[in-house]
Amino acid sequence: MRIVDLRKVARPGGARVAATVIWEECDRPTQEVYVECRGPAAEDLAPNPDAFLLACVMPAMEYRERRVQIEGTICPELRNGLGGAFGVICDWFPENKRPTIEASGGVRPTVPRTPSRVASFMSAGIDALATLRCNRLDYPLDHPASIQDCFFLFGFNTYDFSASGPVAERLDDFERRVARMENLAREARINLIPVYTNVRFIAKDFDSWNRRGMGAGLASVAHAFSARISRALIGSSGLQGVSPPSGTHPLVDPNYSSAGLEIRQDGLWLSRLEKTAIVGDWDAALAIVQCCQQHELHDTINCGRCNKCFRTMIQLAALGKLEKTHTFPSRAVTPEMIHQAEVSKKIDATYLEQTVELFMSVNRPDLAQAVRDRVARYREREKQVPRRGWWGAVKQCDSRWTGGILTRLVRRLR
Amino acid sequence: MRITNLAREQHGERARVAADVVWETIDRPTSRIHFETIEPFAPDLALDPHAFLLAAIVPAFRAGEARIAIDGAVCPRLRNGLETVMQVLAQWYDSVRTLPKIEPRDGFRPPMPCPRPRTGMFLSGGVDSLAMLRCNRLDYPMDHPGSVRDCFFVYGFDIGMPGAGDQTSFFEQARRSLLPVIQDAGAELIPVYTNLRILDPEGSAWPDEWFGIATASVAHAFSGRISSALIAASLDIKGLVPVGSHPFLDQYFSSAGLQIIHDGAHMSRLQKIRLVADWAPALKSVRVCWAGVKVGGPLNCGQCRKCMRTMLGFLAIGKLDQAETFPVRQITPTMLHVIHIDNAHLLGFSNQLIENLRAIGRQDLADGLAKLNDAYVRRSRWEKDLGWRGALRRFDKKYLGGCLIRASRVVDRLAGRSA
Repeated sequence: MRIVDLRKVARPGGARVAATVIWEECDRPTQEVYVECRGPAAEDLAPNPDAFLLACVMPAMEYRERRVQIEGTICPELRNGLGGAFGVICDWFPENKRPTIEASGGVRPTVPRTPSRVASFMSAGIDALATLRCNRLDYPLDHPASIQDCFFLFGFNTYDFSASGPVAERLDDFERRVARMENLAREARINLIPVYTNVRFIAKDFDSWNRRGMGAGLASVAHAFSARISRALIGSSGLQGVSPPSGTHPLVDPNYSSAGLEIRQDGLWLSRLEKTAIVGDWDAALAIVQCCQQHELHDTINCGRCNKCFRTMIQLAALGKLEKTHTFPSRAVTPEMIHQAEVSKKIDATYLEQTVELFMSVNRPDLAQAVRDRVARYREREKQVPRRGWWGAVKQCDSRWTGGILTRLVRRLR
Repeated sequence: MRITNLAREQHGERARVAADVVWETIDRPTSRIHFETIEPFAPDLALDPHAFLLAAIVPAFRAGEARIAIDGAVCPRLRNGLETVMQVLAQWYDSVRTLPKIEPRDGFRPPMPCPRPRTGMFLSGGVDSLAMLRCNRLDYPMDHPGSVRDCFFVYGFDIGMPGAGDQTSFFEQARRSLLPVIQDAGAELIPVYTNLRILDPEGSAWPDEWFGIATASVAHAFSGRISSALIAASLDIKGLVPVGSHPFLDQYFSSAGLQIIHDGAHMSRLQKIRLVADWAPALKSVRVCWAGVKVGGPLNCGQCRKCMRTMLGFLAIGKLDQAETFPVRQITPTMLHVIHIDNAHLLGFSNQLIENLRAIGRQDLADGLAKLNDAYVRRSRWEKDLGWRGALRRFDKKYLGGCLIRASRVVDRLAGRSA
């Protein structure tokens, strides 16, 4: 792969940095990768080779490109970090081979901006809101570790782009979301920076993005703003949510730092329920919290039917906060909803189980019992799923050698 | 646990910061732990509560202390990081442990970073830290804030560990041996003396849980001088196993004023050895040995497993004859018996060695190492129930109640082999 023609171009009300990506080993057309924003932050947007290297390096690995050659200089810290990230990812996915990295200008360490300045990624989800809230509670506004900018991204959702480019309805929805966030931005005293990018769409597919590329993609956006910030925080899913392989992982993401810009996962010490409680205690956040991936909604922000909605609603209800938010179509949780909640992984069961005591403390033994029953049903099913014996061996072979095709097929047939 | 009476003191010619560690849950006498340095660096020794908190938290966690009350303020970033690390350690080793609650007398308050960024690192004289210093010199111009300016050389970790007696003379010898490296690198060598390991006199916590956090505690004792501190990776990222200094853990020992960086995990052990071998002053100073130290003698015993692994590395790249700090010049297959491969990291290193030893015509050593590798792989597959034998054993356990395995043991016994 070659990454050439790194450039910054003016756009109406802002600027775009872009690079041309030429595939060498695989049969993909030449692509333009870009990061764009509007307003004063556009002045700080720079065609930083580190940013484009990060945007492209995981897809290059996926497509078995032997090298990633990039115009300009890259930071040795990032080069070394990518070595570490490849090491972890190739341990997770032994079929992946690391490409060599060649920078036409060699390596030169970047210098952190002074004074230092911190940004975080904002999706309006629980993790991102909790990161911002914790930062506000821990640091005075004039401290260099206090978050000053939040990047709000268009282009990280599967449906944001079609073959012809950004989807107009999605863009409209994004603008509505930006408008919704204004109150929170004012109260938290942050600069909300809407960023438009297509780095997500150079990835091979959703699985690649979700399990390998997302952290590098987020970091690439931060590096495009390395003239503006010296640290970028990614809201973590928490230790309970860390089950590799994962596209954004606390062992991997810090490897995407350069000498001038630190990338860090934040909030690892908090459980999902603790984060939900932190968000629930913040009215401005409760008014806009969006855990749902569905965007074609007009009456509410969240659909209230998907698993992510169920999970968040149940936790908010346990904390006595669901009735205070208008972002879900329903302000009450019923035992039936809990019974319907999808619990397919241990972590889902853990999240759910954390609410039992809270439901008991708010005198809702019916909901507590529903949670117990739902978790018990999951555990019973887990016991029935053979992990040992010949079926276990077949499953292991399937997940290892054929990517789980057989298991998925059997599930579908059932 | 309470950490109280934080004070600056003078101990002979050395400046010291010290604190009392009072156990609350378990019946242990109060210990006074300290960090000392020599005069030119004394003004930079900080009476920083973080240093003592980091020094004590693992022993407190292991002992089941319910809280750590400490005089002074604690940075929220460090508090959050320590909570993360303790959860990870509990997941790795013992999930029933509870986290001690951190109770700073003056609350949680983020310190300000040094106005002038300055990078320090820990230099033990081993391969990891020498390679890290070399890498830093090759990657960063001297005037870059990420360029290493200070190297901390610590008494009380390996040299001077509890029970080893007074090893200050050997420490001085090792320090002197590092001076050419320091001179060539244009950095400062700062000797630091600490007794923090008295908090775990058995030493059981050190390798698996404590040495990264203890190293970071020394950095925090110099938080007035440096804004970031590098800890050399002891494992490369491909062979990660739970260990006290880990790329996942070390970053969480940072405060808002001092960043702790785990550096060099992207390099393999052999790459590091090559870097050291290609740097003449380092090759003349390298000290990997924890055993058999004698004042006036060689820095390395040349017989222990650490020495043997490193010597094989130097041999594999054709530099053993120039590694003056090792008393051995010839390695024979019989000397390999000290090597014990017990994790994926060592297996990876051993595989690299085999490849390189074959390339230089030392089939005998390569074969010897290959046997050790095979033994480890067999043991590991057995433990993890992998391969067709594992499948058979699982089938046996589940459907035949372990008949097959018992029968095979009987056959083994009858054949005179150990089961």
